[in-house]
Formats: sequence, structure tokens, C-alpha cells
Amino acid sequence: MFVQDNKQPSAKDAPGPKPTAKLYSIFALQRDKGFTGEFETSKSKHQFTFAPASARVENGKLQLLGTFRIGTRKVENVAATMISVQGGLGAVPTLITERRLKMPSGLPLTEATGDQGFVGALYFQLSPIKASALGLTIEMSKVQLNVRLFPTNQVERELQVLLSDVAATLYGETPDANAATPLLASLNQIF
Amino acid sequence: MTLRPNSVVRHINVDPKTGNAKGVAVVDRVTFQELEYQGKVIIVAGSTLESTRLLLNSKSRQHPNGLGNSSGALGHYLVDHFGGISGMGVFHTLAGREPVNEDGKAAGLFIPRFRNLDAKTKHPKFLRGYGFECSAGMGRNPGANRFPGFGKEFKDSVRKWSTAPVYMTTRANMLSRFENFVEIDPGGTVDAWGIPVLKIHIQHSDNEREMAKDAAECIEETLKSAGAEIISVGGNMTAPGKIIHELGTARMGNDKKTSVLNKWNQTHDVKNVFVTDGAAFVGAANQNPTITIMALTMRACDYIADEMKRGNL
Repeated sequence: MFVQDNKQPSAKDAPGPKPTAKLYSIFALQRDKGFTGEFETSKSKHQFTFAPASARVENGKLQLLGTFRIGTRKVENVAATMISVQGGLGAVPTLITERRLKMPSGLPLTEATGDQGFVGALYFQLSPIKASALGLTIEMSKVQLNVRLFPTNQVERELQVLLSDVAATLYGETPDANAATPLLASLNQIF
Repeated sequence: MTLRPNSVVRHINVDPKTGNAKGVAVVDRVTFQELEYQGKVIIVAGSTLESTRLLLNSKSRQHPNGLGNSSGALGHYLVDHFGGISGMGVFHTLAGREPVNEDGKAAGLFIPRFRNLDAKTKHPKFLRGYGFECSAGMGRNPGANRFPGFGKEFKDSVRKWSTAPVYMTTRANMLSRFENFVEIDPGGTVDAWGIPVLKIHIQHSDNEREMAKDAAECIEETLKSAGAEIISVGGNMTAPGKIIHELGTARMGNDKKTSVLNKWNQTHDVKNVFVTDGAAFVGAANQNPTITIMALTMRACDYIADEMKRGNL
């Protein structure tokens, strides 16, 4: 039923220069205070880290400022703006269960939501990165950094809870930038 | 037939003259090469959320809110079953048996829905109902974490009771509500190929919470009536998505003002686009959905073949 569209270039429609490949999104895991991952371009694999040095609120969204590294090459002052989050499922972090509130109705709760909610994935938009500084020939003007949280030590656990609270404060039904101020102070203390 | 793997569909292309679908735009998963394919009929069956995501991403002058969305119902009425309310008991008559690995034996049991079937079974606090999936017998895991104790007494207790367990867990109907919906993420989140992703808005209502409370009470009553000693009952309702029975968001219906698809899984707005997966569901009931999806798909395929023979597609 399906036929591939045959598009033959004509003489008057001479092909232009080959466009540079574009990097849309990259995946990372939370490791200590930063995020570590790997992506592939033209059959080469690149391990990268993004290490936040500070956190602030910009236009109502969380923004982390830090260094993006591939091997020994790095780009500093990269801004990672949190554009979206995904809730975590399964075992609720202990720090969150300890403060959970019981529903007054006595009806069963939904796991890992409401007062027990926590973030499992974070989606950041990175500011434009000059790929040549990293030794790459790929467009990195609008890269999305997708981070999976799976804390294995105390620093990672504390960051997960803080980021969960920031997400609830800034991205919830009633965003409140003022309420995020003490959370940002705690984040900056860790970074 | 040519099957082209590694093809991620970006959107459905529409003929600007007729508004009908004329093909799909695809990006190769590995090479990132952009391709286009043409077809007389487009069948969307990418699973509930991916199908709806594709339709919402297929905006055009003729379909500014997404393909098949003149009703505004596309993306709405998302449901999943819920579980998480369960119970465990032990039968004294089976305690202390010779331990054997009974994992995989035919010991499953299903208790179909019994609430709100007729006037006699109507429950005053919730609509619809739930069923129970049950099992019994020893497995590789003796369930030691469910028993209290310490040291030798604890070990003896686990050895004695691990031969005698019976489990019940709930599979329940979540009501279809307009407020539970998906949309293309307004934050601009994309996937690895630059295709906008969905943002999901879904939560349980008091109907589900009352149902969960009743289910826990029924589990306790059932286990006790069967002669079991109760070890644990209750739990938290699973978060929507956990049971992976997501359904709805491109619901069927006779009225094109309130539904996306007609009874043949064909979009009301574009006659040569069909959606044949869980997105078509109007409600979740409490049964596993796969067989119903297959039946609806077979019916839709028969209709498509007939309509093509008649020259209507």
C-alpha cells in the first residue's frame, strides 16, 4: 500500500551544502552533584558530564549554571533550564515519606503522588553550546538534557528531594517563586 | 508488503486540497534521515499515548488542533486500571508442608466484578467496580518480610507459614473523566529525534478512592470467610500508568462533536485515518484490554477492506 516518495533533484534545484547534523536530546544519570551520560555522533561515542555550580530562578523556571565537559574539553557557563519533569514510581524516598500527610478522609492514598510525590526524570534545555570547543562538528544550538534520577548516596538523595520540592513549587498548579528561595539556597549549598 | 523498521513517524501529511491524509513524514531512528511515504489509508496503532501524540503533532491548516480533533476530545478521557490494594493470608491446613517450589503451577484465580452489576449490587459510594486476581502456593520467595519476629523463632515461623499463603490483588476500573488528559508539552520537551512529547495530566478521583477502600474490605472479608488467617491487607493505590493499561484519548462514539473515532475506529474528520489501539476505548472496565483491542482491530480491518473494494477509500 505504501510507496516511497521518489524525490529526484533537478538541475535547477541543485543540492546545497550538506546540513550539519543536529543534536536534539541527550540522556544522563545523576551522579553525585552532576549529571553523566553518553551520546553518539557519526559512529563515535562521547561521554559527557554537566556539573552545576549554582542554581537560580529565571522567568519562573529553575536554571542550573555549570560546566559541560567531554573528556578534557569543556564549555563553561552553560545554562540548563528545567522545562519539564516526570514523577517517579515505586518506593518513595524515605526523606519524603517521613513528612507525608495523611488524607483526612481515611480513604486509601495513591502511591508516589501528592504529598508522597517525587521526581524521577528531569528535562533541561541547554543554552547554545559551541560544539567546536568540544571537538565536535554537530549543531548543539538547542540540546535537551534528559536526566534520570536513581540516587545511590546521601548527596544524590538530598538533591532528589530538593529538586522534587522545587518542581512542586515552580511547576505545580500554583507556582510560587518566593517559596523556592530557601530551596535554592539549599541547592547552592550542595553545589 | 514492505516493512520499514527504524522509522519514527514525525507527523501525518495532509492533502491541502481535500484535508485527507496523504502519507507520513518519518525520521530514521539510526541515521536521522528524513523521509516521506505516501498511502491511501493511514492506520495508526502505536499504542494509546503514542497514537494520540502523533495525531496531536499532525497539525495543519485544515486540522489546526491536531488531526481528528475538531471535537476537542483528542487527548482527553485518559484512564488506566488501578491496583495496589491487596491482601495476604495463610491457611492453617497448609502450614508446615514439605517445602517444594510451586512457582509456575496453575494456581491462578480470578474473581470477576461483582459491584454495580444491577440494582441489587449497586454500591452507594462509587460507580463501576473491580475484580480480584488471586494466587496461592509456595514460590521462590517465602515472603519472609511479611512475618514478624527475630532469630530461630522467626525462621521457624517463616518455614511453617511459607507453605500456606494465598494472595488477592485488585484490578479496578478508573472512571473516564475529561479532566484527565494529555497534551503536547507546552514546555517544548522533545524526544531524541526532536519530536514534541506529551505532558500527562491524570489523577484518581474519590470514585476510585472509595472503590479502593471497598476492595480492601472485601479482600479481608473473603480471606476470613475462606478460613485464612490474615497477614496483611490494604496498601496504596497504584499511580496512574503503573498497571500499563493506559486507554482512551481518542475515544469512539457516534457523535463527532464529542468523540474522535466512529464505530469502525475511523476518525470522524479524516476518512482515511484509522486508530486501532487502546486510544479508541471509551472506558477501561476492569479487564485486561488486549483481546478487546484485537477484536476492534479485526473489525476495523474488515471495514477498511470492504470500503477499499467499494472505492470509498
